[in-house]
Amino acid sequence: MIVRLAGVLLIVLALMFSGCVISRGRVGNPIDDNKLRQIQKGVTHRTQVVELLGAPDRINQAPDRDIFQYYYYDAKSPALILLALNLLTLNVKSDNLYLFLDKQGIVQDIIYGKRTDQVDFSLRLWGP
Amino acid sequence: MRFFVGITTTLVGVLCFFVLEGCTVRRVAFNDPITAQELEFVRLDKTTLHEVVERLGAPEDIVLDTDQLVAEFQWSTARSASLNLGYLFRLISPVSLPFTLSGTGINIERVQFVCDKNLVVHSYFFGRTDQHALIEFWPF
Repeated sequence: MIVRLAGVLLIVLALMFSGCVISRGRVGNPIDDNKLRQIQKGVTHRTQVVELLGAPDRINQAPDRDIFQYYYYDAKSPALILLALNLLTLNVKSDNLYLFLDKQGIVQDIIYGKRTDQVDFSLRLWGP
Repeated sequence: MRFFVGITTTLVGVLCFFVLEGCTVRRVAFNDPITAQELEFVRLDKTTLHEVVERLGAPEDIVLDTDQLVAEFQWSTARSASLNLGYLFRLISPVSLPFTLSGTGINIERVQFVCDKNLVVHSYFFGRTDQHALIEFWPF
């Protein structure tokens, strides 16, 4: 009886997930919150920033200050490859960290926002 | 008469199945859209970029000038649909050559905040809204 039930369950699962494709992609390294907490405004120097987070992905320069930018992208992609129709979505979200440095290389301000914890595998083809 | 209606329905069904077999719909979404209602909390010359970031996440780009900076938030939707009519050849041939009609539309949207050196928001504006990302197969 149990073997028969397991067989039926296996067939149902196989039918449910046949044609499903799930993939994931990432760009950059996730920004480590623990390391970010070690960076203090008015104290931390750019060399310490680089030791903690690595080289910035981008440096934006102005005459009196620099901005170090770190970014991380996370993408989740579900797809349904059916007999008669193929549906595919790719949901991408980004984390960005900006460190404002004065000319002495001291961190003066931090702008950080995390969205990648909200990226999901929803197969939503419509909507904005 | 009933026989011919049955045959026609079956033929149309088979044709639809083969046409749909070559049908693909894709959507790529980058970040969540930002609406004007979400920015109602912004008080010009008072709200700081930090407060904006708390609600919306960090901007995708910051452009620096000597006495101001522009923070740009971006989001986009891309849709692509294709229909491979070559699948119809399977009805008459063991080989189906591809004959694909495909359309792609990408909407890239943005809102920009102009801030002073102390990161206080002085103005903000939305970019032009695109309407390309519809599901359409006809490329002409």
